[in-house]
Amino acid sequence: MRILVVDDEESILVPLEFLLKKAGHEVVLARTGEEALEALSRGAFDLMVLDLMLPGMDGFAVLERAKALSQRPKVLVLTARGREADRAKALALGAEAFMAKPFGIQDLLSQVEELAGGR
Amino acid sequence: MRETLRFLGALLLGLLLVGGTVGLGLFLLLQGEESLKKELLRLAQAKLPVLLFVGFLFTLVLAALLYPVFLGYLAATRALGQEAEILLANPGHRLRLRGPFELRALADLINRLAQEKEALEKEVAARIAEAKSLLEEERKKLAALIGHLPHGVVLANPKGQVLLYNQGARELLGEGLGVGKSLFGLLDRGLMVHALGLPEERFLTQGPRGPLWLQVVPLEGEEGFLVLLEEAREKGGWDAALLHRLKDKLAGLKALAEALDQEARGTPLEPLLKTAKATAEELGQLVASWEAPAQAAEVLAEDLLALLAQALERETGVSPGLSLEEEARNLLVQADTYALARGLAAASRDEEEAFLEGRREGNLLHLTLTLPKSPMGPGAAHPDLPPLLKEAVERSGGSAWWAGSRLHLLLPAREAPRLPAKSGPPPRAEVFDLSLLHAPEELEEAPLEGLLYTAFDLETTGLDPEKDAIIALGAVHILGKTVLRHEVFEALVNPGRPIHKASTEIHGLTWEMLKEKPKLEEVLPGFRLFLEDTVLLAHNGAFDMAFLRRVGIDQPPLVDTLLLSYLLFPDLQDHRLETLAERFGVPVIGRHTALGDALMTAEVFAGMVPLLRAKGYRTLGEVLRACARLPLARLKY
Repeated sequence: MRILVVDDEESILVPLEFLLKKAGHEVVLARTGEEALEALSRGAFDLMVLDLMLPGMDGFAVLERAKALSQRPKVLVLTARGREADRAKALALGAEAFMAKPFGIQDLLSQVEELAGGR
Repeated sequence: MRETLRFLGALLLGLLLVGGTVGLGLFLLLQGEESLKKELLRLAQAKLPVLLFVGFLFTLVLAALLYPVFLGYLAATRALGQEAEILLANPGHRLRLRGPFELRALADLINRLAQEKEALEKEVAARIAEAKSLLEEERKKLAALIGHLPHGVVLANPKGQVLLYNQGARELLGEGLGVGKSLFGLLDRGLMVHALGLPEERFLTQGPRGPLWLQVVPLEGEEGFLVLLEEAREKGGWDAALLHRLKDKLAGLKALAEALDQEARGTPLEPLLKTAKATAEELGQLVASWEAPAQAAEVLAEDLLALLAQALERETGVSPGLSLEEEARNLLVQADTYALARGLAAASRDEEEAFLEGRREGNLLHLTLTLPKSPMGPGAAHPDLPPLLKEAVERSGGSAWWAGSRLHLLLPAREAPRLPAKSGPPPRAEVFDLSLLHAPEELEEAPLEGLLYTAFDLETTGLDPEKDAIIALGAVHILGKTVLRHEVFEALVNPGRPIHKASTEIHGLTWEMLKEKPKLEEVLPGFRLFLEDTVLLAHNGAFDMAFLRRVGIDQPPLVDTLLLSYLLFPDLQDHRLETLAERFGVPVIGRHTALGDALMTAEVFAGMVPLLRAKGYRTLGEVLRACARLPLARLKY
């Protein structure tokens, strides 16, 4: 599975890349909303792990733009903004799943597998 | 001048009268006595110089008789009248016994009457003071209570003019706050009007010295409102951005620890990484439950919808259709209603119709604003949310997004507890001295007693506004006839150059005393704030204004006590400030210090107000126009 991980926090990107690669996925990293959109325009992804608070264009905006793509990836929102209103907004804008930070890597991996299974 | 003309007129009349009578007598006596007539005519021609000399002597005698009557009695009587008027303002003043005997007797009689009046007034005042002391006791308690409240408290009239405030309010709102000044210059007017409709709710706003919580309570049965202020820094609370960053970093650390733990199984590092993982787990659990406090109050969903609809109608002219699900009616919604209303108005500009719908979604209120004319078709890229709306939603702890022609808003909510209805009247503040409650429309039409003035004075290095510099500023607020001695401004200024000895002799300030003081440009902003919204008042103000104009302060109108003195006492000779102070019973303290002179000017003006009123000058406009007609008013520096 091709996975795009979007986060501005290096300490998240490093373990996620390691774990997802180890689980057999192809991983591409993006540190800003703009970088994420560029990656999405270059090739199709099966899943996007998306942070909401990004420098410049925020995660919600990336989510809205991704929705308009012909081959849109599934989206797992992974954010420190764990408020109910944020969760509802993310789901309303088309995210498939929502996890609040801090998260457990096992929960994350099983969530990724679940989304992969529903492909 | 008037007396001189009248005197000359009377002299001429006297001469004509005596000359005419003598002429007529001679004419009648000499009827039919032609030879005698001729003889007399001849004699008169021969003795003309003697006759002219006698006529001159007669004129001199007549003038000597008339002079004291006109220049002594009449002018002195007028001056006596003007001086007697001072008694109305200063009952302790006594007329000097001078001039002709009759006038001295009259002045003595007036003095005795004044003495009796003063005694009577003292007696009445003593009785009133006695009656007031109880009231004063209450007032003191209230003032102490307000003064020691941890909140800032301001009482204002419907026009937003301050009637009363405490130290807390002064600390939060700064030097721009003062009795009689407008609150609207310091706080968002729209927010105040909005908050007035929601007296139970607190709003976050930007004050002159930082963020504030603001609550506005209308005064029951009175025209005016109470503003409660609190600094908007929650003690021990978390800043949302900081908390999110912390969660972000912790999530990274926890993921790293967990990944390493998986990799290190069976190696000597395993126990270390197990501990790291467990610690990260615990930390994660601790932090997960923390949320930054929302910066908004709670409001009933039903009230919120009505408020938003009103605001939309007011700001955009569109009256939106409303619908609120029965289940959502009793929700207490966390919302900064003012910011939200303005944000929604910004989002629905140029719309012709709108529909606002509210429903409950778990612990959220879901508001949908449908704008049929919205530029977006389905699938089109959505414009960014208006910044005002973004901020409002953020403060309320909610979220918002566009979906086609619909704007969705989610706001945190909870079921409102069912409280028994409050019985009895709502709590109210004890208030006093509300002379400003009926504020006039136009400054010029305002009665003199209803205005806020700033009496001010400057000390300078010399008399030339072009070359000399300001070295001291003093000012005090005066509300009608009441000098607000606690609202003063005083500053010494470093002129950046030595001071002439002659000038030092007047104000006692030397170059050494001022070297360490701030520069004028550092002092002026505070002075400007102090003057704002007030009518300027000075003695010989043309001089001070010439200096102020050079540093960019020109705030007409100016009331000048020197001109007022000429207006009230045109026949008195001395119009200097200290003489006026003496006339009005004002103690002369700190003469030629800027604040001392400003205070003296204020007190003198307070004494002048009733005299001006007695002369028929009721409004500021009437006084200014009368002053402008005085020849002295044309004097320029």
